[in-house]
Amino acid sequence: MTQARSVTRDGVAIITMSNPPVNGLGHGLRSAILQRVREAEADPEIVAIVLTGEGAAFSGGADIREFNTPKAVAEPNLRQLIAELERVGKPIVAAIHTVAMGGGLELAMGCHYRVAVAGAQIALPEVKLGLLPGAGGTQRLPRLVPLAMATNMIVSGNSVPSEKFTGTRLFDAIIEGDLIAGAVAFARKVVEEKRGLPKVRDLSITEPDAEAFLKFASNTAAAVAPNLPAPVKCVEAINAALTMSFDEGLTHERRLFNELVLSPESKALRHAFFGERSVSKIPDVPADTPKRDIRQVAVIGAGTMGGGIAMNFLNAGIPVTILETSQAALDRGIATIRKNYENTVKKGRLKAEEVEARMARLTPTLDDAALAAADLIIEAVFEEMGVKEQVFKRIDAMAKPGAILATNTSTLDVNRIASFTSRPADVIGMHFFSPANVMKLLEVVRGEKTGKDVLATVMALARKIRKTAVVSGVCDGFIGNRMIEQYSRQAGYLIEEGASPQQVDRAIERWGFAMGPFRMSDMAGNDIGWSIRKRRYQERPEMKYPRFMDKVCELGRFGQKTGAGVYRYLPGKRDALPDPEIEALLAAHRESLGIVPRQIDDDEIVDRLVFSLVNEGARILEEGIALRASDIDMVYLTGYGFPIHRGGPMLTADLRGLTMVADRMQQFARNPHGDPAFWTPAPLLAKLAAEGRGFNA
Amino acid sequence: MREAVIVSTARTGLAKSWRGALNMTHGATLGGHVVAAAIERAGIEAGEVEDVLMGCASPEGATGSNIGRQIALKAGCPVTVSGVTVNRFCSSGLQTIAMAAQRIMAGEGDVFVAGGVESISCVQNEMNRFMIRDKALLRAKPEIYWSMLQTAEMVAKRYQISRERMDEYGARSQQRACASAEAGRFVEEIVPITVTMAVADKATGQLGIREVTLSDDEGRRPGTTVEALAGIRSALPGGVISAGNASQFSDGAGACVLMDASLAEKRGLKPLGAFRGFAVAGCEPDEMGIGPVFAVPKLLKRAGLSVDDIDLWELNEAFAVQVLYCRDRLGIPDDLLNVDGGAIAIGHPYGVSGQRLTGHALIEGRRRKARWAVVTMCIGGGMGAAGLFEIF
Repeated sequence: MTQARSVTRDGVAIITMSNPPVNGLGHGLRSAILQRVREAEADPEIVAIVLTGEGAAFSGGADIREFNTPKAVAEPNLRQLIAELERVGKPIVAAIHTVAMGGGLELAMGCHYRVAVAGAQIALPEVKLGLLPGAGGTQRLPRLVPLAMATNMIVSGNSVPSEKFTGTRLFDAIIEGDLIAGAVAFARKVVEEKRGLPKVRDLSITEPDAEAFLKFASNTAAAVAPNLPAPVKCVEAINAALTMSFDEGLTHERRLFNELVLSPESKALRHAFFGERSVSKIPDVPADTPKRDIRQVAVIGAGTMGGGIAMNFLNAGIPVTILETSQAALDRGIATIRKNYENTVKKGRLKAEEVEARMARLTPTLDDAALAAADLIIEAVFEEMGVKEQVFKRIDAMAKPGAILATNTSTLDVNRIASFTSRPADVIGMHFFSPANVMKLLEVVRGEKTGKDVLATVMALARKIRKTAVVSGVCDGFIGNRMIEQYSRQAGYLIEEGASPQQVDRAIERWGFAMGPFRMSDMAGNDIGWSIRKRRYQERPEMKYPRFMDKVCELGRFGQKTGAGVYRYLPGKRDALPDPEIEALLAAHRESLGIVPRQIDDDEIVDRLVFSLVNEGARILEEGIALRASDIDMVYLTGYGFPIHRGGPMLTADLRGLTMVADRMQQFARNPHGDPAFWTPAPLLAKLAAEGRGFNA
Repeated sequence: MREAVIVSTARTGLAKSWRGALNMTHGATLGGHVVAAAIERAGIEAGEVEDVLMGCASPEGATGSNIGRQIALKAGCPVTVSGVTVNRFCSSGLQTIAMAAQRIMAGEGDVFVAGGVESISCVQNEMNRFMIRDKALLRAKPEIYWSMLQTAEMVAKRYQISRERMDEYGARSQQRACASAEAGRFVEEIVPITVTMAVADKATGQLGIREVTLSDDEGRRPGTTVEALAGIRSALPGGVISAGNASQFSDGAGACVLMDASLAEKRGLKPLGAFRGFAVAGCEPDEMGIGPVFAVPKLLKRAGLSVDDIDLWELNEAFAVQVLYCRDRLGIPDDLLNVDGGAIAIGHPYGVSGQRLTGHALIEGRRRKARWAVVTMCIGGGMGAAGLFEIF
């Protein structure tokens, strides 16, 4: 019982939760709290109890280390503990500081009184994991704060600073000065004034428009997140607080919680939550690996990519020198950065003076001598090995010793790039995704000779610039682009075999992707894929490619930027309109291949697209290019518009069952047109399926 | 024979369903507000009202439990005043006016309130769907269960009316409504209402409850052009009906006071006009939009009038496609039709529209010194309704 200690001051027992880092309400802590409370109850000298937390939180809620273990629900579970606190015969005062979230807030709402210091973060964030507060949060919070406020907190999961609750019943007092002294004084006052043992469960909700408002809230939640069941269930649980007795409401909340725990959407969100926390763990690079100081960054190239990369560091307060070869290109690049910031100001998400502060950290230059001052140099120049060679030789000549030399290449061999320098241990890939200032993903490409401290430094820096950094080994396309190539090929085969581009797009968009492969290609520019394919035709003539997109490109139909691609576009519009010309071109293309088009159902479209990612992902995992399956999922969730409620390709496969996935692949392998060699299940996939296991478990 | 005259009209502004000012307002509050205003404007005592007749196309939930009776009470009528709810879908508001007039003419009372109420926000998605279809009828006449959207697509296909023509009509409805609003031509009929609404902040997504006063229609979009409407996606894949050429979902209420003409005269009231006839007619459910084509000739024949005699037409804009077809089949001059725009711009709270069109025709007719006005609309299930009014 070391997780909660008790001291007595002025007849008040101060019970302090102590389970670092955030007093997660694991089984040990729950048991300890109950034990300490029982002791205080039995002690005739004690008239009241203050419950608080040690360190960086009152309590952050459930102990995530207990997730998915029997301990999470072992007795006393949180609901039982709260019920017991409510019944205690002496006033219990929760003394809140720093953070009271999830179960932590639910625990506080089970106390008779609550006091807090200003600035504490108060939240019920369960919805972010596809769940709802399952220990009375949905029943108690609406009894303490206005219905709209409670609904916003529970449905969004966002935190609200404690002082914003002034005027509500959540806090009986906001304490200035020492929290514990204030809480003890408050407890004594409660006893002296005989204010009794009020229970939140006994309060009633008085909101005349509650029924209509909650319907509106439910409609809005469904419209905002059509693929996620939790937000709507949150509203349903709140509705129970209004329409049922307290105990029935608790039961209803629990029933809804249990439903959500089993939902694939919650499994996906929890997978992403843990996936995000795993990406920084690299087995042979421990957390205490020494890191280099990065105080000054240089970016080579002020194009779309270079500018976007620079913004990440400017936003994080790190000065950036941006290097170009011509004044015109440099001016254009700087103007674009400024315009991006100004657009953010217009949306009200950035203050105008902050734009100036960020722009002040940016130094444009045409002189590569400026590279000498940088601790990290990132090149974002043209994707061609010859160009990279020139640039890296020059960087090698200019950079100071100990500087990290990074390439933003999306496909080229980082080992070869490293070999152009005299210091391959300092070279690493930092593959940003466009727009680089927005997209969360950063693929960190670890070359054969990349130093551990270099890798550790870049991973730490990624956190500072708020990227999800995933380590990838060196291969063509790394994790993300190597997989997407298979996906694009399948999309190409599907239309050759009989699907229309719009059917392919619609099917995968309905499944959850933000944009189907053809709309995506039209947006990004069809010429990009074309130039990669043209390179492949040279380098790997044995690889089979569907050729229809080449024909589209030969007509100069590069997508939105040329007003026509796979779709046609009205001037100034981005709506993809089916084009009879493309239909005719496709029909002729099929005929030239001797293909009689067949009806293809949406299930086949989705499975071929998603499982192409899975099979290539399995190979990537097997080859050690990715450290773990969840890393692959994080790449797809944060960089490729993979629907978050599906949890990434590898989790999708796990949830479907690998045996069934392998079986489906074998079906596809029997399709003579659809690349049987590719569809042989990857050995790792076949092995895990045979063992009845999944990629992630 | 006794004559029935309309002595007052009052309606709420029409609010966008789900997102608009009336998204949390109960039918009794909506209806009670306009009935009280119509009674006040008529200069009569609430207790004089024989019966309150309210039209409603979805008389359930927030507009259920005989909402007509609730509305009478909410309007401040004594318990002795009765209330009834009438449903003939989109003509319900005209139907109640006809019924009130007919009872006055039959000597069954001197003073009636007639109108309509609709809360699409609070009712449409919460409807009781239990046993909503009769299996045998579904086999025999499946079109009776079609959505209105399907029937509109059918009218477009069967009578070959192009998307371009519909969009052109839709844009013009907006332009006319905007010009009329600018000129203040809706002010007289609207009675402001203060309510609480639910809002979602666009940037943060935060929900809230706000007090607002609605004193205008929310659906108008100034600056609407054909080109802009052409870019709107069709409601059904491959279809021609879109949000730009169809009526808007709206919430609202409206009511008129009808009286025996001689009583009105005795009181020194100035009636807006007199009720002169009403007709309904059925048609194929799969082309319900063309109902007016059958109802209007019946109405005019009985009155001994022809299309050329009519000075002002209000033909409810459920869909541009059916307005165009009805206009051309009936030979209605374009400059006398929906002169201040229609439901495409202003909104279509189903059970209210008949009342709104009647009230507006009487006010606008007086302004342009018209004598005869016809109010007509298509009706779900395959019907048309038409009412004839003589404007004073």
